[in-house]
Amino acid sequence: MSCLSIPAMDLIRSDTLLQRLPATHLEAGACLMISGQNGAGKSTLLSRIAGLSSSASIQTRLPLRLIGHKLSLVDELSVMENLALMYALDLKKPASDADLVRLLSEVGLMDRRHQPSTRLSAGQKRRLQLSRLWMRPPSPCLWLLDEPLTALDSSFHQTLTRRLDELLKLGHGLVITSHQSILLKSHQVQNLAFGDLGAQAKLSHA
Amino acid sequence: MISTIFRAERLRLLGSVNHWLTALLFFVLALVCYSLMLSNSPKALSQSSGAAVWVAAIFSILLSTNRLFDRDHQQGLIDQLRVAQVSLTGWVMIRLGLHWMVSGFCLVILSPIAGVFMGLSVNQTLWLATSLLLGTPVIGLFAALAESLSLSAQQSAAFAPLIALPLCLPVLLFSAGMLDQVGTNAARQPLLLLLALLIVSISTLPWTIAATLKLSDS
Repeated sequence: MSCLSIPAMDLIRSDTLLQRLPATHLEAGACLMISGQNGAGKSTLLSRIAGLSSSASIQTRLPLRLIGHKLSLVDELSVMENLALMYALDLKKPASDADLVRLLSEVGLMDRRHQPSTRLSAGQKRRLQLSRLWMRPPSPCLWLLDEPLTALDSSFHQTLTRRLDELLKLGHGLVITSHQSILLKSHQVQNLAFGDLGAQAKLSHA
Repeated sequence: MISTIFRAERLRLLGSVNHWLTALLFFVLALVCYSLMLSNSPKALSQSSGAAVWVAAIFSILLSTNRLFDRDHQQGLIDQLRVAQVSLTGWVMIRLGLHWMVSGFCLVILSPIAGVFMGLSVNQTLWLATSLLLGTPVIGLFAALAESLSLSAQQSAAFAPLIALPLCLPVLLFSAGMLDQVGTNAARQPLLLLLALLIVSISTLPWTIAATLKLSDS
């Protein structure tokens, strides 16, 4: 089953042609890696896929999860309260304390759970966001990850890669933009390489 | 899910006491200064008190509404609500409703104190409180609309009060009309107009604000 189809189209932001995209289809259980230089339009493409700015032609067939470069934390809330909010948004039901504790221990933030989220370091804030990957949605989702490795240390890097592989096995779809390489075990990986501004992006199967 | 969002917004309000308490203090201090300056002419004070309270109330609400959606926008909470397909209108209603509890509603509660400063009669104070009860939600909604508009135009947060102020004028005029004619039958008409304004803005503006918030992303 295809979970994402992008037709061949021009990616335009405020009258600038960022990139010409080839038609791209992503199967559930597969991963699309988007690479390219800063400002090439990777995040713009993600927000189009997420439906944040109008682009009727991109079709998605799974529930969406966006983990963008914006950390979507509420400063006044504690770590656990922030996670409870994201949990309710993602799974449409209130979180139990046990669920939250499990998620926080997956990303190593257990001892920080009652601190205000502003007291976390950049990497810890990123971990808190990424803990959403460990939630257990009733059906597979399409995850949109914008630079997930930013500010992460190498040990969590591996934890994250393992979890992404697990998600692919469970039939989730992944779209990842990254400057660093993420070595997934899965063979279902496509690469979409963005070129210079206004160039044709190249799609290749790994 | 709504209960979690409500809980988060409530906790958030408790966490930002400083911000909204400043606006309430501003209201009280403005009135204290005003009544001190006119302490030699009690008649002028009690005649102009309605206007003074309302001007202080409007600026207090504009102050507490300042940058209401800024951080939600910058830190991506609005994006997450949209991706999760939560009704943005519902969220705006919860956010503004709770915000009104600590801004407009507190002003209503504070208005008897203002009445004492200004030497108002019990009857006059009651009418003043009623006009604030009906008028402040409208001011809050317009101020929030101005905030949401200023998100799409970057670095123009300073313009938000300028957008909101003209929209708030009808509220000011109706309230002035009401307070001028306290105790007479003629006070009923502006009261009803204020009520109509309240009903219309509550039933339309949350949708408008939600739509404007969506615009700010594209």
